[in-house]
Amino acid sequence: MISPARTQSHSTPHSLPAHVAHHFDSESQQVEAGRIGMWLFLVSEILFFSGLFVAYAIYRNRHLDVFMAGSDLLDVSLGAFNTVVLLFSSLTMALAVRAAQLRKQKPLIAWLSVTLACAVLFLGVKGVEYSHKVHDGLLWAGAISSEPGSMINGVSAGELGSFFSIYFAMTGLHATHILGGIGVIGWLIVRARRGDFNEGNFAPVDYVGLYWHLVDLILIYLFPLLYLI
Amino acid sequence: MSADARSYQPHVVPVRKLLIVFASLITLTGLTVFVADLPLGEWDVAVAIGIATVKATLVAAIFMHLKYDSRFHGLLLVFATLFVVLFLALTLLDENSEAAQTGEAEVVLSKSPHKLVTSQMTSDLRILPGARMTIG
Amino acid sequence: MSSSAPVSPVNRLPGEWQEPRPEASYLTASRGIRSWLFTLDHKRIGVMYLISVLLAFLVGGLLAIAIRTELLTPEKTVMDADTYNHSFTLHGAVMVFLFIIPSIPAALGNFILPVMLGAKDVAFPRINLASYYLWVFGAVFLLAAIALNGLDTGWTFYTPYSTTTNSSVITATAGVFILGFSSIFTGINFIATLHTMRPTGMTWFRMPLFLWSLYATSIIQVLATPVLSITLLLLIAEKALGIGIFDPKLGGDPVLYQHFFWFYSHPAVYIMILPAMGIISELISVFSRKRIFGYRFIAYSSIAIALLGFLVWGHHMFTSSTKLAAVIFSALTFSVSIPSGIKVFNWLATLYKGSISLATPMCYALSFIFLFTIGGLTGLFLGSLATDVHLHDTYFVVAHFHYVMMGGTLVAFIGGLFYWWPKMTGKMFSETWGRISCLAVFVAFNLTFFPQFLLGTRGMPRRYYNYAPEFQSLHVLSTIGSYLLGVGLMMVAGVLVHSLMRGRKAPSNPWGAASLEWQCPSPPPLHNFEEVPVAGDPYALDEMFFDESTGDFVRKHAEPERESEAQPTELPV
Repeated sequence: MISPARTQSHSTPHSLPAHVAHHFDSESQQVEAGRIGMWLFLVSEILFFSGLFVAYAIYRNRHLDVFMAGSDLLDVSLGAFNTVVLLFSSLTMALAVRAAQLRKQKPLIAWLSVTLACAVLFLGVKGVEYSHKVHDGLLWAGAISSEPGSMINGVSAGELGSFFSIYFAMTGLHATHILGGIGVIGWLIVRARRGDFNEGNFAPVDYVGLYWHLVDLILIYLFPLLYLI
Repeated sequence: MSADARSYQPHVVPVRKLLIVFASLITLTGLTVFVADLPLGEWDVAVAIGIATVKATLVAAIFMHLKYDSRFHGLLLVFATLFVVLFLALTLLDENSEAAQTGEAEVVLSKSPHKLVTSQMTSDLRILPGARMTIG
Repeated sequence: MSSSAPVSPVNRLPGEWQEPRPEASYLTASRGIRSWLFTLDHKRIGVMYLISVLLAFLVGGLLAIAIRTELLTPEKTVMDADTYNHSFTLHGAVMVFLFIIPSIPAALGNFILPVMLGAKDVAFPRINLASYYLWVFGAVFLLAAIALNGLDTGWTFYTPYSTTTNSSVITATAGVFILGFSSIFTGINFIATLHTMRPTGMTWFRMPLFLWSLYATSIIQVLATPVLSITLLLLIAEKALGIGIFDPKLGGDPVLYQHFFWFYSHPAVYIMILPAMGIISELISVFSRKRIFGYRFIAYSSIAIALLGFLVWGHHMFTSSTKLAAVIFSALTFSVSIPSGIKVFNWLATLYKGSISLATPMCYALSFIFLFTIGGLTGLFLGSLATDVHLHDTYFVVAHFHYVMMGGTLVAFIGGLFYWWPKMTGKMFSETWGRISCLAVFVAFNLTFFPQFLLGTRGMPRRYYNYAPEFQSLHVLSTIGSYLLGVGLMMVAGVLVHSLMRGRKAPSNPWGAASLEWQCPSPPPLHNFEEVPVAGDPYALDEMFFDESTGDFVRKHAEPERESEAQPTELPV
C-alpha cells in the first residue's frame, strides 16, 4: 500500500550536490523551479514595461506628426550602435551560460566580463545621447523650453515635449535595468572567481542570462519604435 | 520527481548555433534600419514590429533556450505578450473621441479632489439628469 | 499497538501522540528575535505576516471609525474637511495595500500551502523572507507619508489632483510601489512551488481547492501588479520631474492614468477574493462532512475569474471613457460574474444533504456566502452601464465593495484563521465565543453597510465631507453599526488571544479534514513532516473517523463489513 516514491525523509543525509537546497528532492527539481521563478519574474518585467509601450501607442496614435518629427531628431547611428552592442552582449552572455554548464571557469569569467564591458559601453553611449539632447534642449514635456510659437523640426516645441517624455521614460527605465544587470553580472563574476560554478551549479548564471536577454528583447522593440519610424 | 544521485545534465546549445543566431540578429537589425527609410506610410509600425518580433523570437528560442525547455516556459512568455496586447487593444478602444484626436483635452479641475471632468465626458456623454454626475 | 484493521500509511495509531515528542515544533525549534527576523521557515514568515497585516487592519479600522464618526452629522463633527480627505484616503490605501491584498496569501497561504503539499517549504524561502521585508519597507513609507504631509487624493491617486497636491504623494506611492514587489514575489513563489513541489499522487486535479485559488491569485499578482508599479513610477516622475504623460497642461491625458491604474486595480480585487473563495471551498466541504460539489468547475472557475478579470477594468471608468469603450467593458463585465456564480451554486450544492456542523469556521463560511452574494449581485448594477451612470461615485459603490471585500474576504480570512488556528498554534479556541463573535460581526456588518446601499441610490456621493440633512438617519445607523463591528472584531481578537493563553491542546486533525496539512502535528515541526506523506483524495471526508482515545480524527479505509456509505467515492468528472 505504501507508494514506492517519495518516502525520503529529511533526517537522512542527501546524496545530492551541496548546492541543492534542503527542501528540494533533486537538482532537476531545483533547477526547474528556479527557471519557472525566473520566467515569472521576466513576465512581470514585460508587464512593467508594457505601460510605457501603451503610452507610446496612445500618444503616437494621437500625434503622429509629432512622433515622426521627434524620432527624426534622435541619432539613429548611436541607437543602432547600441543595439548591436546589446545584441553582442546577449551572445557573450549565452556563451557564458554555456561555459558554466560545461564547468569551464576561465571562459566563464571571460565571457561574463565581455558582457559587463558591453553593458558599460551601452550606458556610456546612452549618456552621450542624453547629453546631446540636453544640449539641444530636447527634453520631456515638463522641462522642454517652449516659448509660444517656437517650432522645432516642423512641430511646436510644446508638443514635441510629449514625444520626449515617452523617449526619456522608456530609455531611462531600460537604462536602469542595464545598470541593475551590471550589478548582478558583476556579482556573478565575483562568484565565478570564487569557483562557485565549477561543480555543475550553473543555474545562477542561467537565470541572470535570462534577465539579460530580456533587457535585450526590450531594446529590440524600443529601437525601431523610437528611432526609426 | 525522483532523487538524482548524479548531477542534472542541462542542454548545452552548440556555439555554431549561437553564432548563426547572432548573425541573423545583426542582419535583421540592418534590415530594420533600411526598411525604415522606405516610404511605407501606415505600414511603418507593422513592419517594424514584425521584424522586431522575428528577432525577439530568435533570442527567446535559442539564447533563452525556450526551444529546449518545457513548453510551460514558452507559454508564460506567450501569456505575457497576450496580456500586453489586451491592455493595448482595450485602451486604444477608448480613443475615438474628437478631443482625443486633436489633443484638446480641456480639463476642468473640480473643487473636490476626486471629481474630474474632461471634455471627453461632456462631449461624449449626454448631460445626465440629477445632480449625481456633477463637477465638485 | 496495532489495530486489527489494515493500516494505511497515513494512519495514526491510537495513543501515538500522547507521549511527548522529541522534536520541537516550528515555534520552539529556535529561540531569540534573530531566529525570527532572519528565518527562512515559511511558517514563521507566515506568522510574522499575520501579525503585521492585523496591525495594519487595526490602523485602517481606526481610520474607518474616525470617518464614520465624522459622518454622524451633516456638518463638521470631529474633524475639518482636509483631515477628512486624508482619513478616507489613508483608510483605503492602508486597507487595500497593507491589509487585504497580502492577507490571505501571505499570512495564511505562506503557512499552509507547503504543508498542504506535504512539502518542507516553498520553492524560494529567501524570496519569501524578502517579500515580507518589502511589505515592512512599504509600510514604513506609507506611515512616513502619514507623518509628513499626509495623503488626500483618495486611494486611487487620480491625476491631475495627485500631481498638483502638496500631500506626500511621492512618499506614499513609493511605498505602494515597494509593496507591489512584495506581492509579485509571493505570486512567483506560489506558482513555482505548485508546479514543481506537489507530492506523489497529487496531480493538478487532486489538489485542495485552496491551492487552486492561490494559484489563480498568483497569476494575477504576477501579471497585474507590475502595471501598477509603472503607473506609480510615472506618477512620481510626473510630480518630481514633470514628465507630462498624465498632465493635460503638458499634453498628457488624465484618463490614461485611469486606464493604467485600473488595469491593475480591477484584477487586484480578484487577488482579494479568490483566496477567500478557496478557503470557503475547504470550510464548506469539511463542515458538511461531504465532498465538495463540482470540484473541476470550481477549479476552472478560479482560473476563469483570474483571466476574465483582466478584461473588465473599464467599468471603473464608465463616466470618463468613450461610449464605445463603455459598452464593450460593460458586456465583458457580465462575463466575470458567471464563474463566481458557479462557485456559489457549487457551495450550496455541497451543503445540500450534508451533515452540517456549525463550528466557528463554518459560521464564517455561511456568513461569507450570504454577504458575498449580496456584494456580487450589487456589482451587477454597477456593471450595467445605464444604472452605473447614476450610481457611480455614490455610496452604493462603497457598500458594494465593502460587502465583497469585508463581508467576503475579511470574513473568509477570519474563518480560515479560526480553521487553521489549531494547526498554526497548537491551541483550540472557545467555540461558544467564536460563534458569538461571528454573529456579532455579521449583524454589525449588515447594520453598517446595508444603509449605505440606500444612501447611494438616494444620491449620497462618496468621499463627501458634508451632506444633505435628509441622509443623516441612514448615516447614523451606519455609524452605530461600525462601532458594533469594531466591538465584534475585538471579540474575535479576544477569542484568539485567549486561546493562546488558555486554549486546550489541539490534536493533529481537530476538524476531520482529509487534506495533508492535518496529518502533521499541531503545531508542525520545523520541517513539517517526518515522512513525506502520500497524497490521497483531499475531499474523502468519509474516510476520516474520530478516535475517542486520542481525541483526534484518523483516516481509515472502509472496513469490508461496513455499509456501502463508507466506501470511498469516485472523484466527480
